[in-house]
Amino acid sequence: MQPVLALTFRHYVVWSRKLPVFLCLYVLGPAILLYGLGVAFGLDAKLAFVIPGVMVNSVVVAGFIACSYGAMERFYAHRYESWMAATMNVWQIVLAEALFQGIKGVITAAGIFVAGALMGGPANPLLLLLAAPVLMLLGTCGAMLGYCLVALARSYDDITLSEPLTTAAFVFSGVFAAVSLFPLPIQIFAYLLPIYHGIELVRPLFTGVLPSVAMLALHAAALLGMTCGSYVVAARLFQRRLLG
Amino acid sequence: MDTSIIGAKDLTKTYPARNGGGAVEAVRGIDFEVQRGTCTGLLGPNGAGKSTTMKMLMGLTQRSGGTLTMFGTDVRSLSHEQRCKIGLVPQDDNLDPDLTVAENLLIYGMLFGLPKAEVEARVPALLAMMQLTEKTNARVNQLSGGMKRRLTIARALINNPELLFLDEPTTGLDPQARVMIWQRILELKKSGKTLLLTTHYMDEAQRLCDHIILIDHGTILAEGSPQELIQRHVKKYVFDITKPVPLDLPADIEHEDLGDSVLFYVDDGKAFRSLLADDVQFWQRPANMEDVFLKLTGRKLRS
Amino acid sequence: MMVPTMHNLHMLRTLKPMLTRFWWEYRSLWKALIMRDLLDRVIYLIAFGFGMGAIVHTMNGLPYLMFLVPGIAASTGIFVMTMAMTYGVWERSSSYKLYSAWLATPVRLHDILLSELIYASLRTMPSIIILFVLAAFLGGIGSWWGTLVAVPVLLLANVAFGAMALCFTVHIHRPLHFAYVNTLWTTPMFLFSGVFFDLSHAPLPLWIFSQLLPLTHVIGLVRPLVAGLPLDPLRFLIDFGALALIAAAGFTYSLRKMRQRLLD
Repeated sequence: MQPVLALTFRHYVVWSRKLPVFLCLYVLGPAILLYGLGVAFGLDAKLAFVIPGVMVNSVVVAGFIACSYGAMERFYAHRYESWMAATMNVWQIVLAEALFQGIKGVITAAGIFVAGALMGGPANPLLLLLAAPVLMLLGTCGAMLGYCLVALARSYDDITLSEPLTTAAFVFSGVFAAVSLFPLPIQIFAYLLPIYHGIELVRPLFTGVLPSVAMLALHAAALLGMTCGSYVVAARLFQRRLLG
Repeated sequence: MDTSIIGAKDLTKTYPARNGGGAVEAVRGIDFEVQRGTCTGLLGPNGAGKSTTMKMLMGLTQRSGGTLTMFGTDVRSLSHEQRCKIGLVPQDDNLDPDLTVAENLLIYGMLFGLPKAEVEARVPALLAMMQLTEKTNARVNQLSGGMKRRLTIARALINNPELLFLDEPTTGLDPQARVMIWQRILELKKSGKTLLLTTHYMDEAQRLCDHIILIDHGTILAEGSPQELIQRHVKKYVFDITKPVPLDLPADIEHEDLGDSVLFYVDDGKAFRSLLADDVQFWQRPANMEDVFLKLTGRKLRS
Repeated sequence: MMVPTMHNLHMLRTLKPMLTRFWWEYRSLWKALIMRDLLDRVIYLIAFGFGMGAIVHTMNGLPYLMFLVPGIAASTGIFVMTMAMTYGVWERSSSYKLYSAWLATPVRLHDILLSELIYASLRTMPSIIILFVLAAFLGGIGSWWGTLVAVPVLLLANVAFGAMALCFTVHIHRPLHFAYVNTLWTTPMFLFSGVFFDLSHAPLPLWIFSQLLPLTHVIGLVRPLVAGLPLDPLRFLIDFGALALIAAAGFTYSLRKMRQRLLD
């Protein structure tokens, strides 16, 4: 476990050096989006509804981008080989990434939470604390999906093929409108994505409209399953990519 | 008649100060010529200025001072026709990953303005020459390192250039591939092409080059044919004596301590051998370019 | 107008093989490229056409779908061109070092960048045309003739978007930083250029901001064409001229910077 934590710490150090870039991308960007949606559709009154949606989406996308484009860059730079030379196996390397991206997810969400609060959204920090475990899972899950993609991609071009998927996840997962508004096939698509389940778990905290415990348990189980599953698949595929 | 194809006079390149570091004088006013139909080697340790010199020759970086002519014209104002007479094998293979092996050659020939039919006619022979015929329709990323290198050389020949730049043509290749590429380079020389080559392998330079330019710290240290350089700068023979070295050897013989053995440089091999007792472990070899290189540039490691 | 001087003839001689190279690349990738470029737009069309369309029936006097189609079509360019001129150019110039391979031939940097722009812009056309055909089935096209004119207008607009993206590329040294371009350039442009809603009701600062975004003007050109509304010829000429100017200025600037970066 010690090498995993060391690598997690390495990711943290590298990330903290480019914090300005990160804040711009995953806090300022979503803030612009919140504002845009507000102006466009008069959502000001529904901030408590939209903020958790944008937050969850950003956490997943931040993890996903860091571990698709970012991991591809590191792959090209032979970074993984150097870690493997330090006697780490692929499962440990991917686990370190999972841990770090989970922590980063909470920090990302905190940034958006502050931006949302400044725009007049919910401002009780307790909400963020309660949502933290879910946000961690979301960051990890996005990251692991990114690793799956890198393991299968031949070039950056293949990575860009994920753009329509992230777009669809963003517009159909219930970020700014309930999923039930869309036709059934799209609803099913949303059910398969971590963003939907994340939103269903975090949003009740913000809106105060609590669903049944059974529903919450179902979404939590789905998200946990997706996160663990994506870790296993990512590690396997990445192992094949690095060693195969 | 002037037989030089490249002429450099007081050629200088200074990189501007960057990231807090001072300005770097990579090349400090060098003069040299490359004669038509010869193979000239540009040698020097890392950071000596040879890559920068190559880049200036290939028009990939602007010089800061001096003159540099090719075919009698300033390299900055080469005509289309003159550019078409130059081939380039860069240090890193920069093949097009979106195209097949044959397409890489085809497009490259067409970039020189050659008609497609003419390039198509040239491709099979070049692929055969570089033993890549079986890979004609393969993608570049399916090739091994050696194959990529050979394809890069084939690509540089697609326009049938008169002047060919080879920047470390065999670095990172296995011995078989190196020998094969040496054979091709010697064939090209025989066919009358002018070659300019950089390498870190002194055996390669000695084998292929008619003329060697040794540079370090941005200036030319020595110039001449391999034989001339060896004669001028080192003795004929090198004796590598395993320690302990006999104490009764004359102190004025040029020598160098390598740790577990000492090198002695002498002209008269027989006379020196007679000084050595029977139980001394040694081996004798003719001096080579490597000795010249290490003598002139020192054994200190470079960045 | 282009006069066939020696220089221009030289341009044609070197542009043609460069474009052939891109065409051969496209030949092996076209399915994936059309899928990627088109899918993204269709997703937005469905999400907003049906999601919003159910709530908002008309926008600025137009049926919402007809309002949306030209906006979505025009926005194809900013996404595709920005992607191609940032990641794509970076990949070819820095990771594969293809630019230095090409520059070792008589091809010059302006040939390379120009062919990049022309190819990427042409590449968006199939997606845009398919989008229009799809929209026609859904009743989102007001005038076929206008739509036909809109296609070449979008071609020029895309060259302009590409030239602007190149200006970012010449200042970026790590591909990760291209994400900046998405957050600070592409996304705000997509949100605030009137793709989804009518800008005339926006607060004044936002309205001013929107007028500074080139996509706003492209939509201003294309929306009346596609919807079949009367066109103000003066406004049309001004917007069209502005696009040509942006394309030329962006190209000149990025060419100069790229030359410094590659050749110094």
